[in-house]
Amino acid sequence: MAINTVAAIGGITAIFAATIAIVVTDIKRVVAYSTISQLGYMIFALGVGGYVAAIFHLFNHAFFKALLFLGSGSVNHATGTFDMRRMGGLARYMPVTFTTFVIASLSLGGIFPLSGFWSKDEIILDAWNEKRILAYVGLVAAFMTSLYIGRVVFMTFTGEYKGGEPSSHATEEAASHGGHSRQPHESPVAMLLPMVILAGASIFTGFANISDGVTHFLNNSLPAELAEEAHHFDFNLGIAVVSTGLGVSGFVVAWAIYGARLLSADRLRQAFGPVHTLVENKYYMDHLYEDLILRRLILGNVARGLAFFDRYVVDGAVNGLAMATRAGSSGMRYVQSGQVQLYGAAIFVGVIFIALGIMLVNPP
Amino acid sequence: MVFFPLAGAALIALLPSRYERNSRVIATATSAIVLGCAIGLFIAFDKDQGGFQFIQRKPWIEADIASFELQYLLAVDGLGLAMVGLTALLSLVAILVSWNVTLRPKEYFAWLLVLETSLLGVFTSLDFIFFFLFWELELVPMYFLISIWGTGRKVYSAWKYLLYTIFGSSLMLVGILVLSFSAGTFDMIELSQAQIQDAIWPLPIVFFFLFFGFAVKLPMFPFHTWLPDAHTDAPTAVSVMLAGVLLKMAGYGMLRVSLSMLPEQAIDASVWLAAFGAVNVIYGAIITLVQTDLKRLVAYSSVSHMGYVLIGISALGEVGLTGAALQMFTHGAITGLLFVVVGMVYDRAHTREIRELSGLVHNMPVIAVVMVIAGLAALGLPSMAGFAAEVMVFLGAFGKYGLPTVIGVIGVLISAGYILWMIMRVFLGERSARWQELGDATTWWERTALAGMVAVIMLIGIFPSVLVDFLEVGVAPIAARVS
Repeated sequence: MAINTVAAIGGITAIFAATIAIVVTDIKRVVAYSTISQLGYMIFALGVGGYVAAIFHLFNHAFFKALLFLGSGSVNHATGTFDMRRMGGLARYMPVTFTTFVIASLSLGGIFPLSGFWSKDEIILDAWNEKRILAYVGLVAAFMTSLYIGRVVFMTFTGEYKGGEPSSHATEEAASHGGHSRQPHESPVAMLLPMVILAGASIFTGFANISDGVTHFLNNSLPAELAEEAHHFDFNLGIAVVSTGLGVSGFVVAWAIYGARLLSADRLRQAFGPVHTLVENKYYMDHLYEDLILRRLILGNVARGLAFFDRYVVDGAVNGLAMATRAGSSGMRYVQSGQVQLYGAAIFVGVIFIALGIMLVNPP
Repeated sequence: MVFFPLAGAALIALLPSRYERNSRVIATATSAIVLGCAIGLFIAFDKDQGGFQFIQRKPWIEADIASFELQYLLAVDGLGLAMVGLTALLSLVAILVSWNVTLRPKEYFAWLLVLETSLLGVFTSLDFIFFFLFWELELVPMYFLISIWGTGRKVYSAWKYLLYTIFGSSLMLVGILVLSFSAGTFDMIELSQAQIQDAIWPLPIVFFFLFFGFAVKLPMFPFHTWLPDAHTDAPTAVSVMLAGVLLKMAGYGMLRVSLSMLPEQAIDASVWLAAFGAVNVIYGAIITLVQTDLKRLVAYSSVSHMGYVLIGISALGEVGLTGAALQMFTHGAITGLLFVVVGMVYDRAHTREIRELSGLVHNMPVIAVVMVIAGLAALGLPSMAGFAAEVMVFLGAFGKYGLPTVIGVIGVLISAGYILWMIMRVFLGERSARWQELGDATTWWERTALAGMVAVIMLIGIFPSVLVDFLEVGVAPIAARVS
């Protein structure tokens, strides 16, 4: 039960973040939401008992995701913007960045034989063995993954260059240095070298578990009862074909919309109308946390309420006591009038009261 | 050493008016010498032997008919020594940051030194009557310092502080007298070893009377409202002393008096301590979130942080008590530094409204960096002093009172919220044209004060044992009493 909850949370996270990654236009945000989605994938794997697969995916993910971030940085260096709508056609100017970015994207999309394929396939297979329906969740997420990363590739690297940031720091610098004004340029070797190395890793790390290397490695660290449970490397051709097929079709759809423009992105956006608005605003999660919970509830009501309570009730009691003392004292002041007649009258009344008291206690 | 600042104060008071600018030099030299002595004590203190050391004992009043004697008895154990060190450090810092006081400087520095003497006296005297005398003596300089050199509603705040504290300490005096006459001695060492069975009054009432005096001073909810007023309206140096040292008198008193002398009652009361500690932490922290005045924000955060002292004390174990004592020291250093920084901002900008300040990091990088360090230390970042203390408090208290401890941990989260949000609004953000002319902390006295405090905070954060060793020696007998 508990473990199915883990799988459900992981699966929801994976799909939820993937939908956001499909609509945002900031290249780094796509990659960041992709990370949330992939981490959801790993949690999903843990939920279906795929401990080795989860860690294996984490390992592979590190390489291609680092590469995607470096690629985004390289693109930003050239164009001065992170907005993909202002990029386009960069493959021509930045061949190395383009190539490595594509390798990482294919790996992320789970295309055979890159690293992402192997670990993602293992996760889906584990889910298939655990519960069929969960495997479908994994497959849907896999399709969405290749769709959003394909969108990035086609929007950024194909088509016409849209000019980058109009008056950005990067282009100004480029203009003052080389004079080749607004033309984007390939990044220096110091930036490219790490990308090339990571691209190599993104290709090859997937083979690490073919002969159960990762499984053996991890079994030592897993508790004994889990280690037995941890599935050995298993290959199901059917699953592999389906997941790769979905991965490829994700890229194809992305190409159809953003590469070849067979389908209009605007038209699609209109067709999805309210759904698109919802997703574009990240399901209003930020609003929920920042505006409703933080500003309205915690700061607005709880904290202000307590501060009010502190000032007027707790401190009010203190000041009230002080005022009562002062009022009481100034009332008492009138007793000391200095008039002998008044004192005499008070003594007289007092004596009568005492006498009455004595008589009540000791009747004569 | 205790009376040395008093001598300095007398010297300043006797100084001819035309040399009054020199009073700050005398004050600095005096408190620097005291700090040197304190460091000397740290070195000379024999940790292996433990107990009270450097005892000075002289009979003062011997009344044969009443069969008691009052004596002049000063000594320190590990706990008292740590507090003496804190007092000496913060006094010097307080005097340094007051370098530019021009309003009646003679009196100002003299009162600061009198304050130092009274604080040192509280932490070293082991005769109950002397303890109480020093405890009350502290009010005199505080009243004048707040009401003359303060800002805002300073007279109201000074009165409130005075009356509130006297209210607490008058009950405490009753407790002291009942306890001492029941045991037949005013010697605090003997009292903390005596088994008092039949007192004149029921012991829980005595415990309550004594504890009430400390609870007001700590301050414990709901007796805390003097604190934001007094801290906010006091001049910078006095806020530093108030938050840094004066609140610690309460925690010290709880350990030295409540727990040591009435251990059984303390055990009965410990669940309330934990509950009020948790309330202090969370209540103070939530109110801190919405403060709009920088100084008030730091003041309310003190209420929150002193809750950890209560939680640590409620654990009654060696770890928890050491954590509480360490929290007292580290809170003194961290909050002292926060007040120093806030004071520097106020000196320059002449406002403490968070809403009006913005982007100050561009004009005062040094102050901003120190604020970030102090802020991170206050929210309990590992490698800073606050973390070590809070961890010890939590470790000590969790096994005994789980829920209050968990609430305390949530308090850390909220403190991260208010500290980071404050830094974001005041130091980061848009550069405002209004603050273009402001300068950084450039003078030697400002920089010495800042650097010294940062060094102490980092040192304790990285090597807590430099202080914890002393505290453990002091706390161990107390922990043995209440176990």
